[in-house]
Amino acid sequence: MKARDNPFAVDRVLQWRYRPQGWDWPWLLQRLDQLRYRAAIVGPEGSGKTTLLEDLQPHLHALGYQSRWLQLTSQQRHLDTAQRAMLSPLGARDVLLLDGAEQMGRWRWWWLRDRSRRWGGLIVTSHRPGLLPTLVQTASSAEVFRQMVQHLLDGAEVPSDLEHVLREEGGNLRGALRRLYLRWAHRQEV
Amino acid sequence: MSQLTIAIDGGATAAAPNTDLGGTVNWVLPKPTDALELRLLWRTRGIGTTDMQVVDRVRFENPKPMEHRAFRLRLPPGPYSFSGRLVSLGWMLELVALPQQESVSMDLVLSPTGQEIVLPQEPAAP
Amino acid sequence: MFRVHLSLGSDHSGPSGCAGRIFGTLFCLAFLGIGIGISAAVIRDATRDRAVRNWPQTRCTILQSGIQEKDEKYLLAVRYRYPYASQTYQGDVYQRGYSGDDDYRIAQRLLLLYPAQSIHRCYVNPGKPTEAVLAANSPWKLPVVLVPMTFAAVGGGILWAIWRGKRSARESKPRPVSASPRLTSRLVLVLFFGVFLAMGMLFLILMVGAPMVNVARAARWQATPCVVVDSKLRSHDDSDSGTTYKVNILYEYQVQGRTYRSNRYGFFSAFSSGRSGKEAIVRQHPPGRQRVCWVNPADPTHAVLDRTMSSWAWLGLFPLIFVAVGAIGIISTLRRQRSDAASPSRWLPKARARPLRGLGVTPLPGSDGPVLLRPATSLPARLAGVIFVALFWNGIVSIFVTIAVKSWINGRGEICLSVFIVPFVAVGLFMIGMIFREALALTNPRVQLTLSQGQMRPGQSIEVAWELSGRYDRISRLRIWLEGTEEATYQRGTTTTTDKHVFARIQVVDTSSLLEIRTGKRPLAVPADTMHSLSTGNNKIVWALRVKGEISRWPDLSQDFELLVSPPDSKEMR
Repeated sequence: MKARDNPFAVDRVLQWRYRPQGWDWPWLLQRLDQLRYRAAIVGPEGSGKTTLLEDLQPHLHALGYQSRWLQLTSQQRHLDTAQRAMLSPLGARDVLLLDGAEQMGRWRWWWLRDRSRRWGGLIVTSHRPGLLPTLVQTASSAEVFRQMVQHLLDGAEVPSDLEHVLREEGGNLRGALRRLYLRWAHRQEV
Repeated sequence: MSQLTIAIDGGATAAAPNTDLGGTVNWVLPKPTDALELRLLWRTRGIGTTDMQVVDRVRFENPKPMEHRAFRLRLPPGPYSFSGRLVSLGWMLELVALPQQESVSMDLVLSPTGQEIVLPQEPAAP
Repeated sequence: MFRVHLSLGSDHSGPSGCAGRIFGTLFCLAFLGIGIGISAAVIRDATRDRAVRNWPQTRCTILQSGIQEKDEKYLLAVRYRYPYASQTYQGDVYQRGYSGDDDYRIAQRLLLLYPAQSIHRCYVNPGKPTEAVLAANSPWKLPVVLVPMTFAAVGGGILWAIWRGKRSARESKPRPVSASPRLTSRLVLVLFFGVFLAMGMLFLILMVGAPMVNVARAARWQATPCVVVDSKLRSHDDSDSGTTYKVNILYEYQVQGRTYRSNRYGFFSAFSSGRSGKEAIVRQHPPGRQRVCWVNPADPTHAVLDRTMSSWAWLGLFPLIFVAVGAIGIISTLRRQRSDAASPSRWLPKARARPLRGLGVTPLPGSDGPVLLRPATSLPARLAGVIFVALFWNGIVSIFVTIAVKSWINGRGEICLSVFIVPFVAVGLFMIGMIFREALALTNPRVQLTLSQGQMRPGQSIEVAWELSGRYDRISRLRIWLEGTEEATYQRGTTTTTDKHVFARIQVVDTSSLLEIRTGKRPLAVPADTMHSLSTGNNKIVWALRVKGEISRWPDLSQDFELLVSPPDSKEMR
């Protein structure tokens, strides 16, 4: 199967946006306001934190905020020079969205949190609570995974072992989707 | 809602590298627009994070509410359009109305053979 | 909507492999263990010293005072009398743990401080009044613990860094596909090389800096007649460095009517190899010989026979090696450019080849001439790296092995130490094995690949020539093939995963003929309907020539050479 035809290609997967479980956007935005736009989206790997943070952007724009996006990974655990320079002009109408905040060292985190007092807000994703008040906790579920796969397969037959695949990946939706990609990639074209 | 269309001369959907690509863009704009821009770009798809690059742009200033204009682009030597098991790379022309960002796109194959290069699923036996 | 994440930082591969983590963990545990062990010893010693300082003090009278030579050291031999709890005692301990010094001057200064019939305060053990000391140890010994604690911190820090990355990626079970596991981040490397730099600087200061300052100051010292009292060559046996020697010439001189002695020959007084030169110096200074010595007017106990910077200066180069290694390591780690995620305007990778002239390869008409391919990894560099790490590791481990072995030889076997060092010795032996393996691989025949043209085009046929040097006759079968691979990297959240898939294998040669193994040339064609080389940041098409030479009962010859397949009329974009 060609990469672009694979139903689990990344660009298709990324079109599936975050589906709130047990809350809605007005509630979330109200909570965010109560937390003065300083909050953390907490959850394990592959549970949708980054997607939720991305989906938050248009809502922030509608409220009159400008959002700035930064990302940390296990390969890049702190902000480089260019990223730190990006923080300088931020003001009261700017909200920094930091994906992967738990990668940051303690001192650097405290430095960033201290700087953020002048900004409109700081919203982060993290694997563990404690960095900022928790806005919402994300979690993957077999049902959400099934819904995603059904959407991506667009009517085609859904594999019967989805729950097993998700469990094998430790609940990581991203890893589970990658498995399905590779499974489909091995299929011969009809 | 704007109506935007792209048409390539001769109705081609594929072109060879290092050749000129000509065509026409048409639009119907219900609201005034600053400009329109035709972009030639490629992007990857597959299991990896998408990469993309806008290779060339043609800007149409002071557009009338209903108009068509010709364009001519020089196609680069690569990268070719291809599909493998893990990665596909495809070209497209994209017409964007600025600043509202309404757009239309059209897939294009850039390849010396006129067709997308398809990588074997398994290496051939030696 | 889709988001394209352009990496703002490095574009590294995934977490290190299991073997690398185990090696790194043991390596760090060595640092941690050494640091904690020595720290504990220093703290214990300092605690005992503090206990002595808290002993009650009493007035004591020095009965006898002199300098003794014992075990090639000069020590203050003193006897004093002191009252405690209505009784009178006598003591002869100057200080807890005192065993003298090989510098006569130090004992002499103590002698001047504690002459006979002088009265001082001494410390008495309240639980055992027969035990007393004349002087308490310095309370400033404790800060020395910072040195071993630094070792412990470095080891613990690196260990934490190794496993922290593992913990944060635990749930996603990332699948790294990179060629070799990587142990350290930049910070860890800086810490590692920082230790080298710090130790090198410390030894440089002690071995060169301080003596040089003394040489400069000695320009104002006074020439004083002196007479040699004793003259001998001292030796020191070390299982690691062999026997080293030191000149010990004891001479006597007078300043303002007072007699002093010193055994300092020059300002550099460590043991070193080179027996004959030192023997000559000893022969030139027999007992009774009159000489001129140089005396510090501000401190008459301080004198030398030779106040110049002599041949010992070259020894100062030794710690410079550590300084250089540490400084170069830190600088190159900090200056190392993060490999750019390929800028979107650069999709064609750089060719790993250099133009060649004059080889027996037929260039194609209109081509850019033959090129020599560079291998993906350098065997000598690999061997050098393994040797360096093995020496460092085994150097540290050998200290403890020596202690353990000596303890068993002396009949007081250190069981805990012996058991503790077993895994470290195992790692050390493994690393020695790795050296052999890499060295064996280094003795493998070398392969040189040349292409008739620097850039290949899809559909084009070029000529690839190979030449093996060295013991090519040991190769029973040589295979060279061209391999095309898709590589796709997915970055989302905090993890990075790379997948690879081989889509093309084109045989160039598969031969068992010795003549053809040694050298040959074959046409090589990349299919016209295949994809050229590509590198867009997260997605790649990689073409490489793989060479495999089977050698019986020996590491096989195995090398890869990446080559560039490009579309017509494209130039290298990097």
